[in-house]
Amino acid sequence: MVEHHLAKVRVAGSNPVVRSIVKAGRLGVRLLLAGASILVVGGCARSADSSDALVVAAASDLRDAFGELAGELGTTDVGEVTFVFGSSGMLREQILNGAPYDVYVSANVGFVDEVIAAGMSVSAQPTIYAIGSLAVVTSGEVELTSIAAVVTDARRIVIAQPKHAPYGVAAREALQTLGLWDTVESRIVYADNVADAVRIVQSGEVDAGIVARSLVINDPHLVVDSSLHEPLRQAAVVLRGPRESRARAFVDALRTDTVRALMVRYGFDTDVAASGEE
Amino acid sequence: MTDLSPLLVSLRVTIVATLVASAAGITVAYALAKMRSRWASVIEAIITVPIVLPPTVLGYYLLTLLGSRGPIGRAWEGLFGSPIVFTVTGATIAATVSALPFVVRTSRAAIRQVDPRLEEAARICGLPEREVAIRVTLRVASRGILAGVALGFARALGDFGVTVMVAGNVPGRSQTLPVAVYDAVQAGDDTYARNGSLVLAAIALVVLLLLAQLQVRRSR
Repeated sequence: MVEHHLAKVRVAGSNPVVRSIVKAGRLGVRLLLAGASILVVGGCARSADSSDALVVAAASDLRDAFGELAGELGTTDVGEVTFVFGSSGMLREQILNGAPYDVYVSANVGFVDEVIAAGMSVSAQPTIYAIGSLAVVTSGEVELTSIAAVVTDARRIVIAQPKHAPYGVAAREALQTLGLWDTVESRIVYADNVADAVRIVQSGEVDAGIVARSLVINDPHLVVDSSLHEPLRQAAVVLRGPRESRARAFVDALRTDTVRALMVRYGFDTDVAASGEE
Repeated sequence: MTDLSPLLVSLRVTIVATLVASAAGITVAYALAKMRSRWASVIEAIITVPIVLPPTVLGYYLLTLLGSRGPIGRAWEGLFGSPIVFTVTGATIAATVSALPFVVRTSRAAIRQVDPRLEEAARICGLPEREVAIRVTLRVASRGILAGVALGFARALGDFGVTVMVAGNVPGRSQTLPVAVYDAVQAGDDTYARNGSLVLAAIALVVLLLLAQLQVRRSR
């Protein structure tokens, strides 16, 4: 009885079509409001975002070296620096998608050229400031004798993902030059980036890795002959943005004697012909 | 844990995302629950797709839309002069989109379960439709809605895949705590990874306990 009565009331309310249109209209207004609030929040967020640190997107082979560098640059024109580490290819992708980085430091000059070609940089030429090298490390189960012996003995070998990590490309090239790639390939594990590869070996999850020498400089390692792969030319470029002059100071600092000495301590070859701009 | 900025970024992102997702999500859920059209299920499917999509796929779509090569990203840059992606705003949008479907789905189910006779009774008493919605429908459904908000919060706090694609990993700006934990593991910083994980687990637990408490009280 009651239900019957209620049903009548509902029908009497108003035309259901009109009702649903009105409801849709209200929904639209609310969605707009929600959208507007997102914009407002975004606006606030943005203002809080403009903290003054220079953001340097750097290849992960520089994690250790640049960690030390940050302290030395604090007193110069560069000021405070925040580093974002990742594989050079991933960082390139982020920059092409509009990441607000001030400097891009890649382990591979080719990626920098792409960023320049996309018009994201201030300078038209990359600054090549060092050459990186590869090293073989083991988790301790496999003896560090020679690269061929290590990769033959190891059950699994980690390298950085060659699709977007220059050290992964170089590791694959070295194995190919040695004629080992085909036998080893099925035992290769790919890490997100070269720092991740080092972590995977050091945690003992795999027996061996071919990684950036700069990340294992204080650990037992075998240096891979650099003639086995294309040179790992470390390149930097100033990106367009609000802090271009400090970004330039950072890139210039990479070629000062102090920083070169630091890079040499991390196993980089800084004896590069004055390439790039100037 | 020495660097607190990822925690602060995470809290800010999660709170804003939960608020926005709740406001929009409950409204949408109400409209969907009351809609008679067959389009309701289509709309709901579209909104809830992020639950099923792998976070990286969702991240990829968002990056395509919001990036400086995407339509929304370009419009935003035209308006504000700086990109959305790889900022805390990007992280907030990622968290909101991830949280929204949990709020919508759970709230809609709760709203549908409200006995229509209660709503009718309120109408007979002369309450306008808005008041009926707020004082009867949503109130009766509040336990389910709170559960949806809690799920949304958990998703927003815990998101990694979408955030890392859309917001990147800029310390002090867009780096949330889950991303910082990942970064710490890669950097071999076990202390930070352990402490960050503990903090995240503690926050999740406390919030869920608080909500459970709130629900118990509501049900009385």
